[in-house]
Amino acid sequence: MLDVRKPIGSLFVVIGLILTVYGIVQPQYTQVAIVATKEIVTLNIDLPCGASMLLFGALMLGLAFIDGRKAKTADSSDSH
Amino acid sequence: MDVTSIHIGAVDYTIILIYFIFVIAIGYVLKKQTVSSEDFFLAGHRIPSWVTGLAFISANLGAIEVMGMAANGAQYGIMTAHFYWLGAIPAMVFLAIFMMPFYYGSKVRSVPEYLKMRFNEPTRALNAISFAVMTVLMSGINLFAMASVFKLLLGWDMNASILVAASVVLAYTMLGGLTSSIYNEVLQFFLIVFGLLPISIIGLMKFGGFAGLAKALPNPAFMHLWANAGTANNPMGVDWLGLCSGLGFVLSFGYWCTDFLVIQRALAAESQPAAQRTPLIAAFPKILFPILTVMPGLLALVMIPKLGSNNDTLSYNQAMPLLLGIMYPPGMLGVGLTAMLASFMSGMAGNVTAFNTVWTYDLYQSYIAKDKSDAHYLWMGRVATAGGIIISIGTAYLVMGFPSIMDYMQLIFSFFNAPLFATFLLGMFWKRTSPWAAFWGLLIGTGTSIGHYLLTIHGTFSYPSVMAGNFWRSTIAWVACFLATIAISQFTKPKPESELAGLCWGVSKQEDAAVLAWYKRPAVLAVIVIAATVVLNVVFW
Repeated sequence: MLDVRKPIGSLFVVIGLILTVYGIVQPQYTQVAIVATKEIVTLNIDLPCGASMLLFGALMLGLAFIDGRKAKTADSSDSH
Repeated sequence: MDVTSIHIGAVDYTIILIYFIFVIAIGYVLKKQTVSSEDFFLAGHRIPSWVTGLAFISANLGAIEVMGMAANGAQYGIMTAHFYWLGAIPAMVFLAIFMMPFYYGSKVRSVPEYLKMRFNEPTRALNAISFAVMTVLMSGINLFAMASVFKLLLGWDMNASILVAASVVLAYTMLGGLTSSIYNEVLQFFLIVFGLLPISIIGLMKFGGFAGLAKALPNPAFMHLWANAGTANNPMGVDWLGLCSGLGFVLSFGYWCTDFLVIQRALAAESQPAAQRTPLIAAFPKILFPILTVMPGLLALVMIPKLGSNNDTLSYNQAMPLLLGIMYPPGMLGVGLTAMLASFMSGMAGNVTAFNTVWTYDLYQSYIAKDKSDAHYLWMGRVATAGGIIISIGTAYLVMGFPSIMDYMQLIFSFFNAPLFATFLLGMFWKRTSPWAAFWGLLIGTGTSIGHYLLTIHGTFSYPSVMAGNFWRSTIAWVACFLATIAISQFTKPKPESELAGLCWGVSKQEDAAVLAWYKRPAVLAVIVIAATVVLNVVFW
């Protein structure tokens, strides 16, 4: 059975990479006007969002990899 | 706010395209593992509970939720969260603890099949037919919603977007069946979280937290769940009694405890405790969903002037896509759009997989072609998938003619799900309930509901809002079915107890429960879920 974390991890790594690279190479600044203080905050939203997606994707792939190895050793020991 | 100023870049299209490729690839990989009809319709009973749990809420996280709840948030304020904390969590807990042992334990393949085993063939047929009609109507809503967003933001043609969306869902559900649908639902769950959460985070930053947002809202009542629910004089137009009985009891229990669309996900779990954990694991993110759906609605109300002033580009339903457009730069805009697309596709795929199962097992195999090979039913399942999607395209055009999708959906629920919950409650917890009483009770309940609706149109009954009418209609339909079933049971023959083992409270097969770690025990999870819900109700009182 395909481990569901593999496709999820791969998709998030790919999209996360695209966003992170895009955020660095071609930063898109969004200006947010803070209501209380009236100051303007400039955000490069793609970068933190891309990085967190990349991290999450890597985590999913890592977990799938660890469990996959565990299952393999269990399989070979009791000849499933 | 100028809608036409939203610019979609090449990077956004790339992200959407990559997502489409992944979705179809998952279906393709899973096709090799889908060899029997059991694999196709029930995912072979081998999916872990965290996966079925996330699929459980994702199948429900369609257009109605992402667009409808944001729209309601802008219209009714935080009272919309009642759809979660009052209208979902208690029912999900009840399903897990009290009803799932009968569903999973009786080894049924669908909800109508349970009705056949507990009652009789006609009750099953009645339910299977009404359910099949309901699911294709619902999946049409998702297609329509998706097409309208793509038309608004990308300028795509309505017909083209409906066809593209339908073909992708067709590809992956037909290839991999329920497993493919569940896998994509889990993928979609995470996309929705990552794609929509930044909106609420940026919004809270802008207004300085909930308190700051509350100050910016035009009506202070928009920040309260219960404070103004003593009478119907609140944004939603429903008092506490209508809320608790209509939404909190009948509609929510009717949907979460009997709708095969969600139950099917739990039935795919690998064991009975895993099936019981499915709705409970789903409940944790469900409690937090108002942050993803209701909050953006409130933000849209403040940030998009004239929202709701027309029924097209500035309708409440467009609150979420409009926010994406003003908040996200190219890049995240692609992710946000993919998230919305994902929610519509998972909502539609959920309906389609439930439809093909009920059609193949409960209608085709039971009444049309009885003793065929397993391969034949697997083939029929794929044909039914294609058929369901083609009918959905038709219903998508039907939905375009209705003014409010949400009200329309609650109306359909009040016809079918509300009385059905009375049938289930009696069937599972009162062994005296007779098969024919269940059939006639269900018919009388649905009839009462339709009759009540006709009288409302005629003007005999009137309610402060359409939604209030739906809540009260559901309660009345439930009571009618409940009383009729009890009354008819008095003079019809019940099923002998020997036939009720594992189907009814008090005559279930007692199996020794396996000893589980505390965090895997359904009862422990249920207590945590309920406690968290109570706390949120107090905080936003």
